[in-house]
Amino acid sequence: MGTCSPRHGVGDRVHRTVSGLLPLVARALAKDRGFVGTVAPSQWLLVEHSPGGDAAPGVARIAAVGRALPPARVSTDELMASTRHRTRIDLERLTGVHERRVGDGTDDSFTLAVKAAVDCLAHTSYGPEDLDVVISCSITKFRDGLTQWLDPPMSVAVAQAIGATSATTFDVSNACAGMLTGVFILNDWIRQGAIRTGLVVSGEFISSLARNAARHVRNIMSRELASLTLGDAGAAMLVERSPDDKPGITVTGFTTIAEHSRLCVAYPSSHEPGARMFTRSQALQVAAIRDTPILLREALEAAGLEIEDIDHVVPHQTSTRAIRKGMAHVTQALGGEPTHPVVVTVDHYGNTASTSHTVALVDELEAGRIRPGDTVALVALASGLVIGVVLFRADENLVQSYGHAS
Amino acid sequence: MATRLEGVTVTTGGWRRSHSALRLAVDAARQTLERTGRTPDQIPLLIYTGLFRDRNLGEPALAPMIQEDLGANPEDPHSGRRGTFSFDISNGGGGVLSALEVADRFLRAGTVDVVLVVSSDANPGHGLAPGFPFDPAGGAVLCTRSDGPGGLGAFSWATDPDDGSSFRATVGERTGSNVLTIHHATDYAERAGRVAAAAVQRLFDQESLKPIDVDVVVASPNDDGFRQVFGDEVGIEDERIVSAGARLHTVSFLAGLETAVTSGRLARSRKALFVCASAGVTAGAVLFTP
Repeated sequence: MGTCSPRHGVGDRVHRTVSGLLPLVARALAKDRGFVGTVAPSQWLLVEHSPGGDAAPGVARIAAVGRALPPARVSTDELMASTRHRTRIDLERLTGVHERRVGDGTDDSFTLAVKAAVDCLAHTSYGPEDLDVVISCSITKFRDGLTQWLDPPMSVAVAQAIGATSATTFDVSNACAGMLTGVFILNDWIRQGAIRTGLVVSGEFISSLARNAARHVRNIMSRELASLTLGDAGAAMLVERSPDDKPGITVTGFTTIAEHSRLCVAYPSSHEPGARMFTRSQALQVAAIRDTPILLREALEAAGLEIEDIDHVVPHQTSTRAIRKGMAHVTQALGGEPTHPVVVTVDHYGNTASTSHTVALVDELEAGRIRPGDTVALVALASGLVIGVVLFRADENLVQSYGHAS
Repeated sequence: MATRLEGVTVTTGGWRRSHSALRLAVDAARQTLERTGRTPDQIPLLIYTGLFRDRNLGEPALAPMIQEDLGANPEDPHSGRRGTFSFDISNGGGGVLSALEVADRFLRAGTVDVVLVVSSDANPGHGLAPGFPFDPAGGAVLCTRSDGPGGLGAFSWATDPDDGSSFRATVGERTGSNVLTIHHATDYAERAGRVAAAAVQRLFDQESLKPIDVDVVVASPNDDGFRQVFGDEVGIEDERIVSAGARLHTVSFLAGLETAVTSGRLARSRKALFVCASAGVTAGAVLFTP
């Protein structure tokens, strides 16, 4: 593996050459490697365009987002005061996380997901019986406290709980990119007309990982340090066929840089309730910062946009420092910046795993910062290492459903 | 356009590999690629559908680890190549069928030409699953895009929610440690058979078909009670139903498919029916024209 910059420079030249001078050759090469469609042959991302030609002529839109946040707040000072060892870590200065929401024992992954789904539907004219598909994307599948339900899938339970009795159900697991992977799938189905509406939902009851980490973290080098930033939340996103195929989701693109697949792993704790997560945060951040600009550029090129055309970037919420550092690299690499500052909510919600983009999106919509016609980039960075982008245009109906007119 | 299925492979746990769902999945994926003459870097999309994995791993998805071990474009993005996207789909014993539906859609849209679907289950090890009831196994199948007719048809799903009362797999604290517990009620097979029959009946109604129009049925789970209830409800005699691997979970459907392929029954059929039932209780069905 070389470094990012030289590869990126070469990639640029090759991309322009291939797409500009040798499209037929490039297309043949791409087809030989299992790719077809309208995407540029040198693209690393797996990309869906809207509309996608004869095979996928429709356009999907994000019709509504909803969330569920436990009312209890735990400050970083309080959490760090509970550590078993004297860590001497200034976690708030390090991560920017001031507080996070924590379930009080009545909530778990399932209940948070259900509440978020109900909240999401309340922002639409749809009832649960109108949903064609329900995809649950929780990493944690806690029900009845800290019992993980592997089977039946949580999607069946959520669909049943909200009354989506005719929906096809399955779960998607893709770490913190789970919900956006669900959007990627629904976008595909809706563009082809296979379904009209689908709900992506997740509940993350992950404060138990922070509690477990507080028992084990000794110093700043601990691989459980990232667990101390986690917060509980539920989130849901309703995706539907755009009426008259007006612009909605324009491009979705994802890839898995699997040589980094072991940089963050989580599994049930052997002798404590819940789970533990072990993260090589520095290595993960280095890879993410190195690769994100390249992949974001690909997504923008696929959409025919420049970075200045993006109004809001909503990244996965890990730490304020990592988000701002990553955005600075994007700005430098792409030679421009979005209209608005990068969205940061990790300071008051912590890292809420797969729900983080949706939780942040609700903040932006409720505050009226997203206006009709704004272009939003949801940027996934997740264990795997998964990097993905969902580009969509917020429409009047979406903005209005949060009490803001154009 | 048709979605074809190629190189279906099932691997079982040898003495060295009986405790790694990851290794079983990688082995099955590798054999499928060898059988189909593909290399790992030709796979743009990898979907994993297994449930019981090493240490009950929750994050990351297992698909990226399979992708890395397989060598399917694991490196950082660079010029002249394309990446691979991988993720997990869970739908219990019907996970493979859900993955086939997702794969079929990506292929129909022209987003990709090839999707590798992989599954595996094994005892999580470390004493985390006392009395684990399933044999270690891995399976894989390559879904490819063809311009000809046939292939996978429309999918149909049915659910009769029981909140896991007839089958559930949970990881929770028991005697001081988090262990995997599998509850399997005696009436699960019967309930699964009924829901599977409902999914198939809906499919037949959609497609204006009768049971006689189907030459072979690949069914999961491989359970006598399930097959009997399902066959009786739909009106398909047991001789037309292919199942394999009595102690398999998410790999069960692929084992049945491999049996149908190696026996030549799938190739000889004019129309085949795939059906999977799983906890929930949920069942899916799809027609396949070889």
